[in-house]
Amino acid sequence: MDFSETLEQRLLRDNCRTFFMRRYPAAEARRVQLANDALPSGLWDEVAALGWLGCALPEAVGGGDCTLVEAVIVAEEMGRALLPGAFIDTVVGAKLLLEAAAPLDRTSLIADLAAGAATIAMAIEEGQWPLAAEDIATSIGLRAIRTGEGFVLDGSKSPVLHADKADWLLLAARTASADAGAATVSGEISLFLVAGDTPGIRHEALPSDSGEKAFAVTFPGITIPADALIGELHQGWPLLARAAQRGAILSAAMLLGACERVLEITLEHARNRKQFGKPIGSLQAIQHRCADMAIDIAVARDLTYKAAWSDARTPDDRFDASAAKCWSSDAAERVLNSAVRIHGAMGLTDECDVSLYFRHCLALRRSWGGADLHADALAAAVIR
Amino acid sequence: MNYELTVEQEQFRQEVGEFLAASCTPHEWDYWDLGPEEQLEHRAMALKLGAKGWLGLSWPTQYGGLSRSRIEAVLLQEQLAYYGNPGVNRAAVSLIGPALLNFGSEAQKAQHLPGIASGRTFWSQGFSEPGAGSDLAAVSTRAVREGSDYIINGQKIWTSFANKAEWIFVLARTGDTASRHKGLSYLLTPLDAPGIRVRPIRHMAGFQPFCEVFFDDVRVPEAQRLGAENAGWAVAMGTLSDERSGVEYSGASRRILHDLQAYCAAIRWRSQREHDGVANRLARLAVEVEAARLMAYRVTWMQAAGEDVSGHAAMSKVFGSELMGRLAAVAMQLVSSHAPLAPAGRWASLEARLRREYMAVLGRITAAGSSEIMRNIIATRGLRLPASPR
Ligand SMILES: Cc1cc2nc3c(=O)[nH]c(=O)nc-3n(C[C@H](O)[C@H](O)[C@H](O)COP(=O)(O)OP(=O)(O)OC[C@H]3O[C@@H](n4cnc5c(N)ncnc54)[C@H](O)[C@@H]3O)c2cc1C
Repeated sequence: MDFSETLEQRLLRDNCRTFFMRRYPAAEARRVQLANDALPSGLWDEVAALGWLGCALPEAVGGGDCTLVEAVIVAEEMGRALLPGAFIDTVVGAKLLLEAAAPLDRTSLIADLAAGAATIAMAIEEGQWPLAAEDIATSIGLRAIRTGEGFVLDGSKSPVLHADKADWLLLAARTASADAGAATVSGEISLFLVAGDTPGIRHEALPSDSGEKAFAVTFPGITIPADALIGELHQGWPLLARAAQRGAILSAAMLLGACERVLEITLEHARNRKQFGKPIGSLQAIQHRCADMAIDIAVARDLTYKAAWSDARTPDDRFDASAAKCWSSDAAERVLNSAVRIHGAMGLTDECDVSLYFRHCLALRRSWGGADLHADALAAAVIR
Repeated sequence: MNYELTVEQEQFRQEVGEFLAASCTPHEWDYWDLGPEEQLEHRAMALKLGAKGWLGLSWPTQYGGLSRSRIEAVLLQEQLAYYGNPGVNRAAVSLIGPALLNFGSEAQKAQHLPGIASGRTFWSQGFSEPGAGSDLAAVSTRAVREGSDYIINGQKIWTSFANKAEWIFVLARTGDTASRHKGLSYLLTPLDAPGIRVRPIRHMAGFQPFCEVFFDDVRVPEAQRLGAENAGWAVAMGTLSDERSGVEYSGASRRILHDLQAYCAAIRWRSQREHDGVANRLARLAVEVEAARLMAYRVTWMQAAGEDVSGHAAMSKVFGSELMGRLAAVAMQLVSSHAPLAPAGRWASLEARLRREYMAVLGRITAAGSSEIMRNIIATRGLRLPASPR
């Protein structure tokens, strides 16, 4: 057993932290959130150039040849910096393409994703995440109907993050229905890779105050070629389930990083803010609240890194990934509530950095499935 | 023992409910989010409530009230809170109004109470300062005597709706710096007096419920001092405790519960398991909403009987405001793990409102005495535990 990070892992973390502190300070995050504005120009290219997008991909496609643990380190630092953007979709999408035996060889696209030369958005959700095969019936309605030339897509996805900037959309659609002979409901799903600029696809921007630009994307009878299929026909579910696990782990990591910073900000306030002639941090009511925040965060860290470590080892066991997201999502709610309360009225204002984290975490808690959803997914295994 | 309302009380409760149901739909009221349009409706509604005599329900008739009982007042407040307090300027109706009745001179009552009872005049509460939040006795805004006037200099913060009210009541230091609560006076001034500047502060949910108020040589005649010089603390404390039953939290909680019930009836459940889990949670919350109501009624009953309610009122405030937090958290989970029910209309506005409530509720837990301060009061005043070392 060994809970330590390697020297390389520590360097990666330090580099990320220094870089984001310089290139994406809280003032930038505030501007992006409040104006629903773009990231500082060139920032994403720099992130790609530093090799962080592809850190968990094999060397053969230009990646860093590391495991999901390294991607979790990057995600944690991004969460700490409040950085929105396509990191999770890139890692999850590239890994999915790598694992899928597709009609077409996607190696050059995967290399482009790792290098930041191409962007991808995961278009899976239709208002709620499909986490278990049983969810598919209620959560995936987009249809892909086979025709002579390929498939015709009919339906919509929402929210899709950064759909406006994505060169590619990776989507899940129903290709068969139970009455057409699919053995199980999970046998109804196929995955497709669709060019973002395919004529006819419509984007509608959704309101957002978290810095993440989200869209509803509609496919009104869009024809796509047969080789858009990723993996085998009707066999998309196992790939999608793996992607959902990784998304859960990476979004848990972002929450972890955000909460760590929130605790630091709160401790500083508790030390400096004086009422009744002494720092509020000297009051046990405040101290116990801070201690509980620290426990929440410590647990989140252990669950998240354990899940990242397990990713390559026990890919079929979804407990660790759902446990990490379930806990982190609930813990983030408690941590943020405590932070706001310890700041008093000031914690509720735009001027206070805590509010930036509050809004950012609200979005992160739900993306890739919230606590209820992950608990539900685990429930079947907990009580048989 | 008797948990029943009298026939008259029950009739009154129903009358209020029917009036509000007719006046507040289809517009979804939101106490926190008053844009320019809602602000007009808010003021119009205040005039309607005033015309019914409900704003000063328990006040003597000569000041625009109806001399009704505390029980009826609490029933009214509960119904109003359920509807998001349309037309209710709490600083006027629940704070300065009762303070004037208890501490005001005849001239002050005659000048100010009719405007409040009729819904014409809105007030804001100028207590908190950057350095004086929970520790209110640390107020440093100064009021210096000059002839028969006071000259105020300093700054208030978190002043709710100071950008939308006509008057403000200010707790200012008239004694020496170290005098703490023994050197404060309670002064009334119009917000358009020369030397007052108001800057709205943006809440993280996107609206501007509170302001900073700066005082630069603001002149207030002695006649606008409530209570004796340096006796402002007693007025302020009387103001804060008099109307504190916690019923606004139980009324607002019931509203969130009902919204959630409606939402649950409309969504498509992922599974029977999800349905059962949420149903179990909502059932517990329904128990708590009923409990919050009983706690608020008990405080009111104790107040009517002339008992010391400080411990019970604090319990009701903590329980009710934190219950709103629990309800809003469940609402947030549900709303964010289900597809929006419809892009526009009733559901979209409900979802937006639940989301705003989720952010605003933390303010309710902090404002009017934070949960920590309330728990201190429960422990020391209610349970008579020794105060922690200062
Ligand atoms: C929505 C909203 C509306 C408001 N409207 C008004 C208004 O109209 N007029 C007005 O005058 N004020 C208003 N306030 C201000 C409110 O009264 C203060 O926020 C409150 O008194 C707390 O002060 P503070 O914000 O400075 O926090 P602080 O006093 O700095 O408290 C910070 C934290 O320390 C804790 N703490 C402080 N002292 C103790 C202690 N002794 N023991 C344990 N814990 C302690 C608090 O509970 C809190 O968690 C409003 C506040 C809000 C949120």
